[in-house]
Amino acid sequence: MNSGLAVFLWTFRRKWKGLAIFIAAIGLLILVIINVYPDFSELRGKAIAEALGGDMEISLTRNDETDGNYTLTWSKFGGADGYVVVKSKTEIPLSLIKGMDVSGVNFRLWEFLPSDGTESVHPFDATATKADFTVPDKTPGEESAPVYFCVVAFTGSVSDARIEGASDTVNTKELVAKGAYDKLIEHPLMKAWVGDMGVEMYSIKGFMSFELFSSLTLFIIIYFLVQYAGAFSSEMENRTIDIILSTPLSRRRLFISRYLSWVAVNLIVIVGWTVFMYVGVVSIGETANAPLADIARTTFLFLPFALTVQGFCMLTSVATHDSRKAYGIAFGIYYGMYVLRIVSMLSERMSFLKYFTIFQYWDYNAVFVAGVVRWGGILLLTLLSIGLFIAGLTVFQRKDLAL
Amino acid sequence: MGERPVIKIKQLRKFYKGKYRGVDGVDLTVYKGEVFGFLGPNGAGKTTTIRILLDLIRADTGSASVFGLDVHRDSIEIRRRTGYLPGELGFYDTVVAQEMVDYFGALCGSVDPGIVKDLTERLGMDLSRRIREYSKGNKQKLGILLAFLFDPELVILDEPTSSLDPLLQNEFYEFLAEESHRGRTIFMSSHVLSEVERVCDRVGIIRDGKMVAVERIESLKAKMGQLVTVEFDEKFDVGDFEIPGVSKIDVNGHTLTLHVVGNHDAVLKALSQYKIRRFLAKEYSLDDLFLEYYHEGGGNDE
Repeated sequence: MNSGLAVFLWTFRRKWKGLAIFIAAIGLLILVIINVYPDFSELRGKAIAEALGGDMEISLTRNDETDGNYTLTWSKFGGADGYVVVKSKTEIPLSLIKGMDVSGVNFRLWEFLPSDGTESVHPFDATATKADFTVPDKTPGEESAPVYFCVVAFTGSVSDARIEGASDTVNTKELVAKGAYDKLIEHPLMKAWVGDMGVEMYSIKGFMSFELFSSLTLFIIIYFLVQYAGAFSSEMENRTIDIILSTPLSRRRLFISRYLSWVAVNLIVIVGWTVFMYVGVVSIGETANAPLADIARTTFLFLPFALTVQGFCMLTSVATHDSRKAYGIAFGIYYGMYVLRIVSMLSERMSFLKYFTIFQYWDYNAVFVAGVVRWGGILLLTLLSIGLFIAGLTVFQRKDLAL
Repeated sequence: MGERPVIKIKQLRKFYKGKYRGVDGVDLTVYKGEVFGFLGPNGAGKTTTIRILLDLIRADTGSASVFGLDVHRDSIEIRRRTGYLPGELGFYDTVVAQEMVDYFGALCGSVDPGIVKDLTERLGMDLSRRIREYSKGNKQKLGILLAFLFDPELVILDEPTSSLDPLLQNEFYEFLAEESHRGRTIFMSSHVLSEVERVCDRVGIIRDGKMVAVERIESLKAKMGQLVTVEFDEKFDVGDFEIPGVSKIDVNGHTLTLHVVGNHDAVLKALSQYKIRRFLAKEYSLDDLFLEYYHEGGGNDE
């Protein structure tokens, strides 16, 4: 047998029991949580209906025929404490309303997709019932392009919201479920931890995104850190590396074979994750709203992120002979990135720090809920994982494997 | 034993992190077919030298070759022909010993099942048990099995008997003697002189990272002689004992200690001038000689 294949199989075989237990654990978690969704959705719908009650009437009036001035008017309705109006050149799916944070009279749009001319045209106002807009006249001969408006009604102390919309007629009529639970989601600490959710929790995708993708990402990172961060350093520490490298096995082959073995572990985790999610969705009859393709696309786009985590771990693992130090460095890096993410969320001035965390580039929310793949981030993670692999290999080849 | 060098080390230096001495100018040659004992106290640089030979660590300066191949550049080819028993044995404790043997065999390319069977029987091993259930001695046996598994031309053993009980040590010495008769080159580190005396053709002594002696065992034995301790009733002139054949003189009050290698007649004549209260003569052992090297250095490098 080829020695590289022997290392691959040996590494994999030593991991498979733990891997099976881990996948079974996340599978159980997925199935249990997804099966909570129907109850949750029903309860949320009722809660919002009670909080906001009644219908909002929206009308759009063109003030004259030449200058494109419009007035959007809406009726107040019970429980609403204020309104925000948003204008967009495209329809505004609820999933794209990202984390509106209303605090007192300050309205802040954390992130609003798509970036195609969407704008907040009327800030948070507790009393307003109308807003004026100007829509440029179309160029003669052009097709008429619709302009969409929506009114987001807030109730409660922070961000219970209801959204209704109007274009020339009406964009969408849906309820956004936001309540105490969503306040938690909107908290910067939670955003840093689980990602910028800002999705409607009553939809299956939004629910899965918050309840599963966020927590599973965390669990999987921890699993990878535990599995990989001390892999080589503990071998140097307990001297098994002496036995292995007393054979005609090159360090390069050992490193690459082990790397590939772990890539296989990553893929199995991703496949398990996908399968259990889909089984969960099937079990509650929501396949139409959360199809397998959407789940698989999201989970498999996790691979560059996983490889980056693996690359970090392998690098720390070969950099030191002390496995505790290797674990400490690896966990420290992730904790440090988490702190950076929090800081970037808390301060507009420091928001640039988010680009120094890898979490910024794994946006399961955008992929799964909005269907938007940010290829720049994926490419960056891929390049980073390759760089880390090369750095790890170089260090391992040059290192004294004993002290 | 041929005169073809298998291991050749020249002015090998290694300082960990640039400051902690590993070895500091080791020169050594081991010839094909010989059993070479590499002696030194803990921390003298034995394991560092061995790890450099196996490319587990890299020397700062100097050169080392095995089979005429550079230990770093041609490391894989060297390891293809070299068995190794580490001083600090590390195994994957949760696996069954047979799995470890199979894995090791796969890494080596191919292993003759007959050799595994022979060695297992000879070492009295049960490979069906998990390694974590093994005693230290059994783990050492497993290490020995792996070192000889693929019939290597050279075997490097780092303190091979450290975990073996006296009975197993004896078996191991016999095993080494047989392997030596089969023409295998054995390079073995130890800090136990008696085992080196028993199985080795030559011995190199390392102290503080430097070689202080490389000798044939017979040459060492010829230097052994006797240790004579005399307590005089009166003052004596130490100059009376500075005579050929006396290699070491210690004076402590009225007590004189001499290391006498031959020429006993002259020593007795010198002693006869004085009134002697107490006289003791004992064989000067290899251990005494060894300690002498350890504490003072000396001896003749080859």
